[in-house]
Amino acid sequence: MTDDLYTPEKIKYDFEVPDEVLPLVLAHPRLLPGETRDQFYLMLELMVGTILPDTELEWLTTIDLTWLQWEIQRYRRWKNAIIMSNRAAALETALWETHDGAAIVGATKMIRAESKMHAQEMSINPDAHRDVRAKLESHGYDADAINAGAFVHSIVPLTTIEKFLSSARHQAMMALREVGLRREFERRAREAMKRVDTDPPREANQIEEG
Amino acid sequence: MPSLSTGPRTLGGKLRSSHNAFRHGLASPIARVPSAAVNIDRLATVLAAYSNDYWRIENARGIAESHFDLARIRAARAEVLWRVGGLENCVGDELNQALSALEKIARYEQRTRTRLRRCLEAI
Repeated sequence: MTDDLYTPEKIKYDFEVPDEVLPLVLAHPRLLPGETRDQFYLMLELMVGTILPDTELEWLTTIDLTWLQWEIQRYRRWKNAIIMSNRAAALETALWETHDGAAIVGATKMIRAESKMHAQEMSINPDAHRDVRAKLESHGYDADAINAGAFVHSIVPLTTIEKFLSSARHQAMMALREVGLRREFERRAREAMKRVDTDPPREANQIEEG
Repeated sequence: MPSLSTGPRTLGGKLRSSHNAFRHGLASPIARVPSAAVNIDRLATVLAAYSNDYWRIENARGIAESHFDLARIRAARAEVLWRVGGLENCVGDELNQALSALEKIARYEQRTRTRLRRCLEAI
């Protein structure tokens, strides 16, 4: 996706962003490899279209929510990337544990080197070493077992990222509650004002008449 | 009695420690960043609804500062991930360093969000 769909002018006029909030919207999002500005602004457009922010405060919350959502997706991608990068390590462990020469004294270094080489080749090309893969499966190391091994290898960083992820989700929930509370209050206040306007309290009428 | 550290002695050590407070710049108040200060003032005035009430202005300012601070925190977080080559290439020691840096940044975010919540409740 190219980075020219969402120009500053389009964002300003199509989104109807208040001028005071604009610097926060137009500040170029600091993106990572594989992310584009258009993806970010598309998400912002979706959020704005759903929430329909009315006041500056609601606009600020909408921008914050968009960023939180963006970071939640980023953390999810990061978790997947870590598991995928540890898949080779898990495969390597499975290969040397099921190696025929594992019981031979002094052969550990050679077996480890061979397992590492095979694991790298199999990670790049899934069709490589079909015989080795078949042997692995006969020992119970199917794709799920390798994924589970990769998960065990990456448990420490995954726990930390999960902490960031749950923190971002919690912040998003808090922001949504804030918007909800304010809107609910505003709705009730408007309703009350409208009721007072159309149907004034009797005591007040009586006082006026008196 | 154990002797307490009197700080770095060598010139190199002193130079290094003189930059301790300038690692990511998140500790300094956002209002002191010239580019953000003008935008914070404008936003705070609108959030306070041009009121003269001191506390309303203070809370509006707190909200505006918090949002610009959050933008700075997000940029710092992305910078950490950018330095390790993105999410897909981050492995081994670099991964641990990135996670440690992100944990430190998370503390600043927590502080900013607490302030934001307090100001939102009060305004």
